[in-house]
Amino acid sequence: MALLETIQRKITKYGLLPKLVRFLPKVSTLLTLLGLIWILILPLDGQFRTTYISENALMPSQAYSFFRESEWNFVRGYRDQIIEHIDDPMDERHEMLSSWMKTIGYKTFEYRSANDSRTTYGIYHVPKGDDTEAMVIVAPWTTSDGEKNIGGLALTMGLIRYFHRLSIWSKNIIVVFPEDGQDTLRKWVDAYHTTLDETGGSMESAIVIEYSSESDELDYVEVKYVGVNGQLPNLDLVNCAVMISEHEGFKVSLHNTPKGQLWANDYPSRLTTLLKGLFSMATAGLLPETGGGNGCEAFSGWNVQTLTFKARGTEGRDITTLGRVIEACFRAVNNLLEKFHQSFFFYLLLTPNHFVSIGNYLPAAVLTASSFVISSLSAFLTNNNVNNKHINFNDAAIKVDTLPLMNGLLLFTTVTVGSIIFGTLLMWFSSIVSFADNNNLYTKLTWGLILATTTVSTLPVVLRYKSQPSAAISQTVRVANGCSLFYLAFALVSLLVLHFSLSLLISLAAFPLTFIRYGPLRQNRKNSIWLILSSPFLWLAIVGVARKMEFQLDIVRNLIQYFSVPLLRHELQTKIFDTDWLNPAFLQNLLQGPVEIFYGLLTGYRRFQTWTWMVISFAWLPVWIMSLIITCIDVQIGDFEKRKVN
Amino acid sequence: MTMVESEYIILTTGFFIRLAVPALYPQITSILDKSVLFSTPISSFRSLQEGIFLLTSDIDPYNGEVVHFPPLLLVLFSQLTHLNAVFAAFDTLIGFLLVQINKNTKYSTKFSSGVVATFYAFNPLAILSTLSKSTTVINNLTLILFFHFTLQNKFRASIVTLAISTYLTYYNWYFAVPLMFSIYQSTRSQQAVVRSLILYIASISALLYSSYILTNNSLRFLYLNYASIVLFKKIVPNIGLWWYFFTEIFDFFSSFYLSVFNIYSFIFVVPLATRFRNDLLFASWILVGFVNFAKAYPTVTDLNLFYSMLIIFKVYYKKLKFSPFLSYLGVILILTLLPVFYYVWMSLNSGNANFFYAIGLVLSILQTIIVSDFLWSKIQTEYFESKNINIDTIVKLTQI
Repeated sequence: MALLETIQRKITKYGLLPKLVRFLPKVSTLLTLLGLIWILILPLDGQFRTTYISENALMPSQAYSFFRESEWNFVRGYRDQIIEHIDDPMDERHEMLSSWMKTIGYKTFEYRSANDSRTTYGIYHVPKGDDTEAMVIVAPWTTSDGEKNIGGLALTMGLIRYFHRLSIWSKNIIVVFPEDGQDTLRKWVDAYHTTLDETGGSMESAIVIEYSSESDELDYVEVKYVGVNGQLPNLDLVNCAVMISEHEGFKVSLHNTPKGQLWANDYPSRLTTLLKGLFSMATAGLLPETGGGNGCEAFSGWNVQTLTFKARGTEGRDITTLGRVIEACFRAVNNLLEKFHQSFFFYLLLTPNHFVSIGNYLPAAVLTASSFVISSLSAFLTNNNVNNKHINFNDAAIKVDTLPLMNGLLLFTTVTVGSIIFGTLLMWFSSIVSFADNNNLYTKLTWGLILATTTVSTLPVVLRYKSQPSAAISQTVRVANGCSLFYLAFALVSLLVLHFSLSLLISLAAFPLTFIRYGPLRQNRKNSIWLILSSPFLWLAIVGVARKMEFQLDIVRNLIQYFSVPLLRHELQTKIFDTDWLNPAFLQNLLQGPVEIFYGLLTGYRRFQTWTWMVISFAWLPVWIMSLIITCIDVQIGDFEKRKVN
Repeated sequence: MTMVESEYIILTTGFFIRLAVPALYPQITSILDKSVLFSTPISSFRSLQEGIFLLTSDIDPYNGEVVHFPPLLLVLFSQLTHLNAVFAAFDTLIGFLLVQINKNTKYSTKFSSGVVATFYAFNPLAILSTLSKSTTVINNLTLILFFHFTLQNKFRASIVTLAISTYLTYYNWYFAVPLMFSIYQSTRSQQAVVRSLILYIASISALLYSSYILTNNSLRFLYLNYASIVLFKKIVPNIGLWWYFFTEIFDFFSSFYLSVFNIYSFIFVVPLATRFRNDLLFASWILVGFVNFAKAYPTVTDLNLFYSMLIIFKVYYKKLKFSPFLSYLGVILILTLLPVFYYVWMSLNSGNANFFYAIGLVLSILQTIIVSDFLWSKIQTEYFESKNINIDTIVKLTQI
């Protein structure tokens, strides 16, 4: 304490406090930079850990699996039938599966969701179990890429036939065949936990199988695990899946990593996986009306540990190998005596075998969010008024009169409430206007908003008027500015634990808002850049177009890591020069990207309980609008001159 | 429009807000009542309704372990209808009394009645507390009424109010100590104190006896109302400090910790009253703040009383290390994080009890900081006044 007191005395003696106050904006920027650097440090050797199974009961791959050649014949038989009937009407296809399941000995039921999409499901009430817990195997008719899930359905049929013969199960087995792995499956999962009469106990785990090829073989598996709102399955289950797959000889790919990079385990590859993971967590649950959902989103929020196995390639190991992987996963979960609780629920995977736990990565988002806290403090301490630039800070200026305080708070509250109403109205709009019938309307709405926000961002450049010098105006603006920044900081901090990646990405995207300064209009011109850069709708456009361009981070990484001119030329050739940019169909498709994501945002809460749009329209958008208003106000005097003017 | 009128208009507006929100959005009560911030088994609206139901269906509410309300309160609520209006009226009355107390204090600097009324009428904590309909609102009302009477030296009324308050909530007998001190301060006679004490005990006894008769000559309500608080019978997560200890420790320690926690909640009552006998309103307020984190089942409604009364003590703001604006901001931040962590623990299953308790601890630490900050500011202000030094003079006092 003596040291602290000495420091405090020195600070007072040399008058450092005013200088420190003027330094706050730099501190804020520094914090965001530190947050970024923190993320970049995570994939360095020594910063991450190797995965391990922490629940002893799991014992993955400890039993010899008999799902081999003899079962292969059944899989082939089912597959031939499925190929034959794949184009039949929905009900006939489902009846076919239903009759097969009945023959094997499953109790089968059908569930129809409101949009008449059908889910067929069967329950095997295992003789040894106490009928309270269940493991779920899911094979949707359509995969997340929109293809027919032929191999997946056949393999699932073969597996459940085989499972029924085993006497080891202590948890019920539920097999689900939804039309697709997103809305239909989600509705079934919701119904299972709320209204369905025929159930098999609480779901401990769910495994979704996607294998669209008709081939007998596959090359490697891709494991998908990201749920909505930052929820992930317990790391133990992911570890089991990875360990078993590698035990059976599969390479495991995460987040669409191409085959050539599966052997890489260096800093750039780890960083790439980390960034892709962050991004896919932040954008999880923003699905267009059809296609894109892999099943993990559907189970999210109900405490079901969910994984999706997506088979990649058509040659290599035979299909029963994937069957054995899934069988071993089921056996592992079957061994559990308690719920999954041992391992991590918050983690970032760097490779299938390496991870960073929450304690190590959370500081990154803490730093970026605290950058907003500092900048709001800085705003309250009059740093953002350019009129104060050359005047030393003194604490007499902190005081705000009651009326400007009230006005500032009122302004801020009005904008926030307005933005919340706007966001809610759009959500309501999306629930009554169907996307398929009104695609044009949604396209106009999305691009209208993107263009409108970009246009109004240029207002500080265009506006030309002069106001009377008034201390009231400068104080009102100061309060509104400080409050709005604090509000965003507050929202980001609350979001931290729930949804790390969304909090981090929003704080990075909205970071330019901390550069907003106000003063005489002619000095506000630079603000336009910051406003455009931090607009939520600009980022919507970027993410949407990137998704349609099939942007792959791995390619960028390749270019940087193994830089050579021919490689660059090749990539430019394929991605830019060979693309027919003026082809209307191509452009149309490109422009649809943001529209689909916007629709996903608006309907996210209704369909998957995704909060992303709420976070954006309740926290990010109001602060952006507030900043826009501030930059459009002509503030003629600084906070230290009011005594002179009044 | 004069200032006197404006405070009533503001309070009436507050009343209508408290009336309109549950009318437009009736689910709000059950949402708040299910949240960990506003409801404990001791005070929640849910168990009140359960008790009323049992009472009206001629089942003895005190037979089970569900109802922890005193019998008279239960009977009162079984007769009341339009609960939205009743709670809104109670809370507005609290606001009114706050304005009155603020008027009657002898502090040299204070906020105008309009500001105090605005502060209470639009205070999110107060509004949410009212909407949650927890019986703690009534506890707050009796306490603030007691402060009001004591401040005006209407001691008989204040003794009876305190007796009712004690009858409702176990901890409120602590306030008998500052009350006796202020009776002694104004009358300077020990007889008066003894007489007041007798009146206090007699009123409580009357209330308890009528409850005894009301519950068919059974003393079980005593166990349910008071013993279950003192013995911490329902170990349920709340924003306080107790529950975590009693889930973690071995059973044979629990009687030891029970006594320690109970003694701890009482330990500062006499010293505070002695030290600040010339300003017992302040002592009682600090006591409210202290009991809030030392009690077994605190809710945000309890915090509301402390943070609302903060506005009365403007005279001590000058010497604070942290301005009330900052501490209020901190409290609201923590109160937003608490349900988030509760959700991570209970609904997502991805966090655990430690997450939630850690934030609860931060809330308690914040509260201790605020309480000790005000204490130190008060002592400094007193020093300046006793030495006739201008309060703005820069003199560095050191705590020993």
